[in-house]
Amino acid sequence: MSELPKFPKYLKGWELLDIYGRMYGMTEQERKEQIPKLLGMVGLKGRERDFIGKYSKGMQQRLGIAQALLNGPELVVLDEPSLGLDPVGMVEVRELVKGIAKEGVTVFISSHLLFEVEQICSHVTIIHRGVSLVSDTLQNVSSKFSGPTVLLVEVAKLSDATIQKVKELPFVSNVSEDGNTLIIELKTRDDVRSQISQEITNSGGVIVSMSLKGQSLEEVFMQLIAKSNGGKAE
Amino acid sequence: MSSVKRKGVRTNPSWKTRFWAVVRYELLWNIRKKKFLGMAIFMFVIVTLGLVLPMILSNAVGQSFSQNPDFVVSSNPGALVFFLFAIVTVMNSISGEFESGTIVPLLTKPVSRTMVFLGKLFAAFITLLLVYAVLFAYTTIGATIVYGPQNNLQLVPLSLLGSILATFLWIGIVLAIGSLSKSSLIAALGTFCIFIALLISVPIVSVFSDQAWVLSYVPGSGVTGTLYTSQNQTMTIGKSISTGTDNIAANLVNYALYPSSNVTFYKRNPFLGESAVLYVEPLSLILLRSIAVALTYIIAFSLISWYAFKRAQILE
Repeated sequence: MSELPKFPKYLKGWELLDIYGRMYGMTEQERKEQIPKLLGMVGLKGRERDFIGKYSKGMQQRLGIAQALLNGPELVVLDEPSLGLDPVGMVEVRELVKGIAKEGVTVFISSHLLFEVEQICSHVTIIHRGVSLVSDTLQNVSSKFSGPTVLLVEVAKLSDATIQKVKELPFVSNVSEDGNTLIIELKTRDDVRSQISQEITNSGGVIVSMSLKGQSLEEVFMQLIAKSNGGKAE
Repeated sequence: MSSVKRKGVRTNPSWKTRFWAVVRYELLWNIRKKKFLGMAIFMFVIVTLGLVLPMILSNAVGQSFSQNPDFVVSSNPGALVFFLFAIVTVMNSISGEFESGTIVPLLTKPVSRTMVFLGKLFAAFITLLLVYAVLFAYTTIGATIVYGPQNNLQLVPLSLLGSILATFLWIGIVLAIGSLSKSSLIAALGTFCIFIALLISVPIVSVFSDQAWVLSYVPGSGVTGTLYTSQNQTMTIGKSISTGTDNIAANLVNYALYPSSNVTFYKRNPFLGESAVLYVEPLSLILLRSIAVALTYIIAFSLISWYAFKRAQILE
């Protein structure tokens, strides 16, 4: 799906999917089953009989995703899926893409919005001037270039037992102290705050604050670009 | 979230299936265009006025209104109707796809540009067939009510066919300009300029060139002659007819009614009218030549527009 796909305004949402379905050679039965499912999935149920000309940008983007999924592909390529959308639309599309991936479809996203990539993707490839600088899982890319993810936890009533319990967690690589603050280095980029929180509370600690410290993909990207340019970031 | 049905490898759908999908896509656009609907409504108003105005005027001046059993076969849509229907049907068929960017998602589907082009052409044919059929049916019913029972109604399909052919010539021109320029405005204005230029220049050239044969080979109307339809003891009945692609419908009907008749072309003087005989041609030759000219133009312009569409670069 290209960025901001433009569909004929004179067609209704379901008509577009029906016509594209015919082009893919879907039978009437297949179209009858698949189109309502897709419309429901992208949140256009109830608006399918409206002309596309009346759709918002976000709705058109979601219709674009629906038509990309119409013939049950194993790979979907989305070019800037959130471009030009308002914050609500961006969140909707992001959730939609995550949902598609959960269904077992490989989603390939081309995007300049790195915070979005960070939220959606499991694997990243950073391309600069047509050259692939890195291609790996998001976790590996981040840890390779920015070191481990660090969680800072301010704890009242901090005890050795609490520190020991946290150290024993399988996804924790190192724990150090700075006053009442625990500096926890993580092996994973998964969100493990709830497990750590539970462990600290169970060992008698009281959490005052918790924050994740780590370089964003954007920072990693800038580092890589600077490296490829001989130390100068563009 | 409901699950997306995954089909894996889908066998390629048949050419026919994909082609009909393109036709459907285009047809829905054609019949929903405001300008097309406006034109169709305008034509119904014109036909209605053509039917009832003579009756109203006759009553107004106190003349008796006579029945006319040949109203339907003698009335054919004119050059302006063909030109306008061509414009409203296809002025943005190809250029509009580029202007709006809808060509991008369309061509990501398993359809070739040639298929899209042919589908659009066929959709234009169906659109015209439908609108002209309804207009002719409306004229027939209206004429039967106003002018009494009509003769030779079996010739109406010929008239319909001729009208579609004449319109398709203009469609070819609109599509060619639209595909080359990728602008609906230029397509409409360019065709309008050609139409007006021919409308003005052909009668002038025909006067000064003694109805030169070449005028029968330009799009639109050609030269004007007289078809002598019958002769009784006291007088010969002459009927003015024109050659050219815009008159195929009328000449098809004329040929069906008077198959072996000839058309006499006179030297035309703007002040004295028709004078010396220039040449005589069989109606069959005039008709065949008009059809051949129309088909040649349609094919030539369609090829130009197909080539331009096939080569067009798509920029997002």
